[in-house]
This record gives sequence, structure tokens and C-alpha cells, in this order.
Amino acid sequence: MADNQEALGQIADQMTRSGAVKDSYKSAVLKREVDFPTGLATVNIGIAMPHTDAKHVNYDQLGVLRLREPVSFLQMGDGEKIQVKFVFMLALKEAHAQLAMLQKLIALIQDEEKIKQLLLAENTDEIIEMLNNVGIE
Amino acid sequence: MTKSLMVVCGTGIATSTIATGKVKEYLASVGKTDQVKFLQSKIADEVSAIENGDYDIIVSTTMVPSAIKDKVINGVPLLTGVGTQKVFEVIEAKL
Repeated sequence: MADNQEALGQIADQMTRSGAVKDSYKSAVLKREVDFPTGLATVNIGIAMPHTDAKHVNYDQLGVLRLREPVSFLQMGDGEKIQVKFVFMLALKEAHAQLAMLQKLIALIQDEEKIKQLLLAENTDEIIEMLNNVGIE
Repeated sequence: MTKSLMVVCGTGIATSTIATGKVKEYLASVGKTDQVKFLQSKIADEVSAIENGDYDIIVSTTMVPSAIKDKVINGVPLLTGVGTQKVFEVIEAKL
């Protein structure tokens, strides 16, 4: 994938098709990434957690993208360039909701062993199963 | 006296929620939850309030305008797990 906008566009399209987000979500989430980057460099891996306002969302959904080759994102907070391997795109219908899911996701990206498993997973079913196993559904 | 702790992010929807959760957990572990009044918002709505000094402690998970940079604690370590303890210490020192 050429850049993070292309990567984000792909998941956003998928989430639009699934009905979780409105047609306006894609352009909103792409712009939001430019204004407020969402890359996070943990000890183990670079991930990104793009999201945008609730008004573009129909119902809660987590979109997951594992990139064959890492893509550059800017880090949240300091704007440093980092290499991202996993994108977790959040569609959240309500502000301040889903704390439990978000905490599990954060715990997951900080867990070296689980991240290794996610990187080695051979298909989407395996990835979904691993996420379900840590309580992310 | 209760201190106000404002946690801001880009949208006020996701990462400020996680950061607030982390700070609450920590303050509970040191028995100081009741010293803090938690608030959450998006940065765009809070720049002038932060400039005016409306909040005692401000934690941000997103980039903030340089004018208010000195007043804001970078909360990204709460999300990455790299340097989390340091953030807790800085917050606790302000109580």
C-alpha cells in the first residue's frame, strides 16, 4: 500500500459496505488522521487507531488491517513518524463509551506475545478468534 | 481540595476515554481518586479554557497548539505503555 491514506481508505470502504459507518465516515476519518494522527509506537510494534466523530457511525465496529509491508503514520501526541503494521479502525457510536473494549485493545497492543501471534496468524478467522479470546468482539 | 483534571484528545471519543481510565486506575491504587474531578473533551473545544487556566491538570493524547504546550502533560505513554509511570508521577505531583 502506497501510504496511510490508502490503507485507511481500504478499511473505511469495507466498514461502509458492512453498514457500520455512513458514507461520510471515510472522508472524515481520512481528514482526522491528517489533523490528529493516531499512530502509537509500543515497545513491540507500531499500530494506528484511526477514528472520527460519532455522527458518521451507524453502530460500533472495529476494523482490523494487517499490512504486509509497514506503512508510515505519524504518532499521536508528538507527530513523530512511525512504521505501522496493524491498523485498528474504530467506529464508535457514542462518546466515552466502549471503555472496556478500548482498554482490552490497549492491553493487547502492549502484549508482546499476543502481538507475535497476531503477526503470525494465517487468515482473518485466526485474527478474529485471537481478538475474541482477549474479549474484543 | 479537589483538583480538576481535563483529559483531551482529537475527537474526545476514544483515546481520552482510555487515558482517563488509566489515570483513574492509578489514582485508585494510591487512594487519591477523591482528590480529582475528571473531565473529558476534544482539544478544539478546550484551547481557550486551557489558556485561561480553567483546569488544574491537563493531559492530552493529541498534539496541542504551541501556545498551551507548557500547560499540558503528554498522555500518549498511557496508550503505548512506554513511560506510563512517569506520567502518573507528573500528575500526582500536581495534586
